[in-house]
Amino acid sequence: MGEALAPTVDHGALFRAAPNPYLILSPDLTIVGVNDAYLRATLTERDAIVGRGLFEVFPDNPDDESATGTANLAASLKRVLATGRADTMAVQKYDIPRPEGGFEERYWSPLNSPVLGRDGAVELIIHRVEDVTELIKLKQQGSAQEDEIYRRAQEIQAINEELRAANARLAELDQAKTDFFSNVSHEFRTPLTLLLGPIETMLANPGDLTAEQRDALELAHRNALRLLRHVNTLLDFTRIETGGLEPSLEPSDLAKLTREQAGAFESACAEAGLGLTIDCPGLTAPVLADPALWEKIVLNLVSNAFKFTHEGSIAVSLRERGDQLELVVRDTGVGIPESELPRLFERFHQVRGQPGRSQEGSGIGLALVKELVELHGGEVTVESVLHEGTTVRVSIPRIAAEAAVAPGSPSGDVHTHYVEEARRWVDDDPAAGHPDDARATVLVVDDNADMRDYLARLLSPHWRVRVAVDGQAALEIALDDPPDLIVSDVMMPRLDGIGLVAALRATPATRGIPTVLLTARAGEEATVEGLEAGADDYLAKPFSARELTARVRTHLELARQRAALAREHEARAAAERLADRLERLRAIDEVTPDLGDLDSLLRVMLDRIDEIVDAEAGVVALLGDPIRCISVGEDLPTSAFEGSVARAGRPLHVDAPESLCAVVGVPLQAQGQPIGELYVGRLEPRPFSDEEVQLLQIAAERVAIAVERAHLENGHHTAARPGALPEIPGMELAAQWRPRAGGGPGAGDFYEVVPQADGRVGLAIGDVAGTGLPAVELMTQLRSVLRAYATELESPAEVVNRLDRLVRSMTGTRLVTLLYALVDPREWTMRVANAGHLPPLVLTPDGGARLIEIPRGAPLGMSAGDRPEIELELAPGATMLLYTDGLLKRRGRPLDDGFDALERVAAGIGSDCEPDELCASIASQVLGDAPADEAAMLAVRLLPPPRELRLEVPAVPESLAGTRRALTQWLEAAGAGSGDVGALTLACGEAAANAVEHAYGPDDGTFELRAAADGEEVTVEVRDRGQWRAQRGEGRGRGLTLMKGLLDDVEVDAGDDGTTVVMRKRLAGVAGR
Amino acid sequence: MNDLCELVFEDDGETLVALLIGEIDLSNSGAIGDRIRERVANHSLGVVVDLTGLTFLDSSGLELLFDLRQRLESRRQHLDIRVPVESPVRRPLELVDLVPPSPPGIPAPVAALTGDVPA
Repeated sequence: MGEALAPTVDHGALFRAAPNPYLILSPDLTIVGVNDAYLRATLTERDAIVGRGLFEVFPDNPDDESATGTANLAASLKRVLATGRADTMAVQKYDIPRPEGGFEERYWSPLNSPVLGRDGAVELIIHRVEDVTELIKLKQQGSAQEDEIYRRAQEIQAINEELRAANARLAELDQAKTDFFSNVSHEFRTPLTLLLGPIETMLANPGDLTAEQRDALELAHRNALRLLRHVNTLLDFTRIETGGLEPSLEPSDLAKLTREQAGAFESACAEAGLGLTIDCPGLTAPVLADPALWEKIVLNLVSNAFKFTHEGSIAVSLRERGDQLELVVRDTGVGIPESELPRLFERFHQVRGQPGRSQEGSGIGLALVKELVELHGGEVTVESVLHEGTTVRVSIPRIAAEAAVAPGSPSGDVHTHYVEEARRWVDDDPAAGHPDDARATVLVVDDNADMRDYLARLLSPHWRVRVAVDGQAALEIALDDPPDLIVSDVMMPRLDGIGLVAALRATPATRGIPTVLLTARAGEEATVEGLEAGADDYLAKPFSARELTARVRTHLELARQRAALAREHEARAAAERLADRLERLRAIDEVTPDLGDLDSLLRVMLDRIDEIVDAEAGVVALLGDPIRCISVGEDLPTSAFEGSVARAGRPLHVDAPESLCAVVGVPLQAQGQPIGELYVGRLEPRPFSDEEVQLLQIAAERVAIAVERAHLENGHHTAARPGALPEIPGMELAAQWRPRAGGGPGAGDFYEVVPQADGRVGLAIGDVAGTGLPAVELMTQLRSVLRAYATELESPAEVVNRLDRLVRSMTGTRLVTLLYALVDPREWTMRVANAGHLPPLVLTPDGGARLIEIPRGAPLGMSAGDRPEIELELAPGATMLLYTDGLLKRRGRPLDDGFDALERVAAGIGSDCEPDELCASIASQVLGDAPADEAAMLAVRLLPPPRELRLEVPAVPESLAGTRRALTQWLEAAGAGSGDVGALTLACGEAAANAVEHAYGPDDGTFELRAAADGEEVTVEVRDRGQWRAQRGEGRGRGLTLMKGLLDDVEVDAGDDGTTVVMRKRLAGVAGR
Repeated sequence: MNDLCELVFEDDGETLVALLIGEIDLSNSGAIGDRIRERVANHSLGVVVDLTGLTFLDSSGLELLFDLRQRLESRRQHLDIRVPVESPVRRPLELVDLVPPSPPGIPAPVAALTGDVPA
């Protein structure tokens, strides 16, 4: 069918009517064909372009130095010709000449494909373009909104993250509590074990003891054992809790074990007048169980029964019932109220109001039994009748074991078991295994020097330790630099431990510092007082090293958890406030900038701002002569605004006129320069809150941007330019920035001077490709980031590479050339890194001018590429000129012509030219009155070392001030910072005053001052021809003290023919003091 | 007195505040001391010497302050010297212990009139 249709088709007409723009080129890039769409898109006529060269018809916009369209197109066409294959180009920006003059900006996505002849050579090239101008423009508009959406999504994500983290912290806190228990129990076991050892040794030889001593020792022994039992129970618990207690099941004769354990209570029951029946006949076979745990089950149940039974009996029985083994402990005790039964096995739950045999009882015995039984796969039940008695039944599965009962069951040597375990714990010092967070600081407070040293010695292997001699000293330290934890004695002079705790708790900054008090045995009342005052813990003296470290560690950990939780809450609250504020500010951002003129735009913005801060009047006052005011709402007498807020550079509450009750103004700033003021007023008698003023400041930023934008569009962009240059000792600086003649969109030429704290100075010159608002905005952003990097980073290459990363990370990337030099005026050297910028021009002191080549790395935004940093010498007296290519460009002339002109002018200026003269000459002779392009230049001259200063001064008090001025000026030229200048002028003033006061009578003679600099050391000599005399008076006698305190070296040589004072100081730089 | 230093007084009836603006050296310390002493009334609680506006202070100026303090103390009056940490005249005052040394980065507490004058 296609073939049948073919003869009727006019291919020429088809091509001309094709909807996409097409251009047909011959291999020499002459236009041989074009379709209508292309003509429409380029605003051209067919007759006017066919037969002419492509680039003759479509040159780059000569006013746009960033235009790279033709170069890119030429490169692509060259590739097609060379390879014979199609070549797709990235989106290009073309400046299409309008018939009526000027250029129109279009974004095209072009494809160049070859038409091959029979021999395979390229005969024609089809240049097809797709016009994506609208798409690009839409994208540029959309990206701001996308950014906002993205930012908010990030915030929500961050808040969720915080919530998750907070939950995790709570779980950690729980864990910390369990750890605390475990630690404390361990800490108890060791001393108890060590206590029991000697007691048992002594009781083993009762012959050496009197009856009284033996009774006392037995009492101690009993109670130590009892305490040990409680501690062990706690430990069992924490081990069950952490999954650390695994029953070691083995074939066991549980009947025998039960008889032995219950039998241990026989004598106790007999003494108490209670009957004890044990009914545990031998079992048919050994049962798989953990003998040690079974013992604990029996012991706990029987001792519990004993504790709560005052008369009657206790019966213990063990029976095989089917596949279960059942242990029953029955008593005739006080019984348990029915309401308490369900909670009986809860940990730490003790039945209230029940008269026990003793007050002891951790409340965990039954709970432990339950856990232990469950470890055996069994269960526990309780029946009880109040005042009649209680029956506890334990049943575990009867798993018969084939093997006989293992010999050496542990029942016989509980003591050995304890000792073994104790040894394990003693060896297992937790501090030895993992050093504690070395960054935590513990403040030790004790007035006893020995005790203080001892404590510091104990704690310093684990933490940083500071010491204080009493509570007052500790409080001062804590207020100054809060430690992470305080260990304090109670009894101290000036401020005791209780007072210290109270003072710490009364101050927000120190409220959260965990505090452990050390109390003497007799100090129980103090302990209570201390805990009431807010101490976290106390330790009675004497205590062991491990006891102390364990407490400190636990409280540090708890404090860390608490602080983390508090931080989470704070962060969340801050995030919520921020989200709310953003929500409100969006109303301003929604004001679209295409409302026509600036005034209508500002009025809309003012209306929105009034809504946000709840105000009835709004004024934007734009600085200028006269100040221009745009206002909405209630009347604010605009004559009242005379720039005071702009000058103050901060929000001011202004006296309200009669009609309004509160007025506040905030400055409008662009690049740190004041451009105007924003005022709002309120009818209600309610002042604007800090929060509202903050909102207003953010709103002011939006207003300032709108004003700047409007100015830029009108060609005024001077506010975007650098302000006055800083004064740097040891060098002279000058700079110029010239807009292109006749206004037009601003370009991105800039310079920057960043003084460093050490006396060096960073100099930057750069050029952002392109023109108009995007270029100027990028330039402004780069300059502020550059200032930050230059202040922080030592290496110019690093500064340049960081900026490169920033540019590459931005959308709609542009190329930026940048040269950054870090100049040292004392060493006469500089370190330079260059990202594609033009070479600096150096004028040597002998009158020569030459370009210095600096390895030129890739421009910013192009590639990570290598941008080497080199060090160069810059001779004293030489002047270096940094500049942008706007200085060189001539319409229709190669760049080299510009270089030649620049060198010629510079060489003609001569040897002794000040940087500002150089800039002025170049501006007038190279740029002329009508620069074709924007240009920036920055000139620096390093001053030769100052000559020696030599003054002959009348020896009268009135000449001292003038001498100081002369010395100050000389010192600054020698590169001294303000600290050094201050120290040297004061010291010399002392020497000079002495000469004036004591060397001569009134109005008689002179003294001599000489100053010289050698490298970084300055020597000043004050010589008179009178007698040195020690100064009189309390203050004056301190003259020499001052001199010695301020300088490195002071020599006084008092001879018969006069006194010479020689003073030396090494310069520390401007940061020095 | 020459014009190296401007002297401004504020007196609320209880306390005399003397603001010193400029430089103090041998050429004007005596006159400034005299002018401050003349202004101290018998019923004053004391004197605040505010050196915030001072750019130079030599040992004759220190003597002025020592002398003033001694005279005031003999009359049971207090001298309070105010000088910011960043002031160029802070260092000489610290060197002779007229003000406490300032820890780096932390403003030194200003002794209250009713409190002890740091020695």
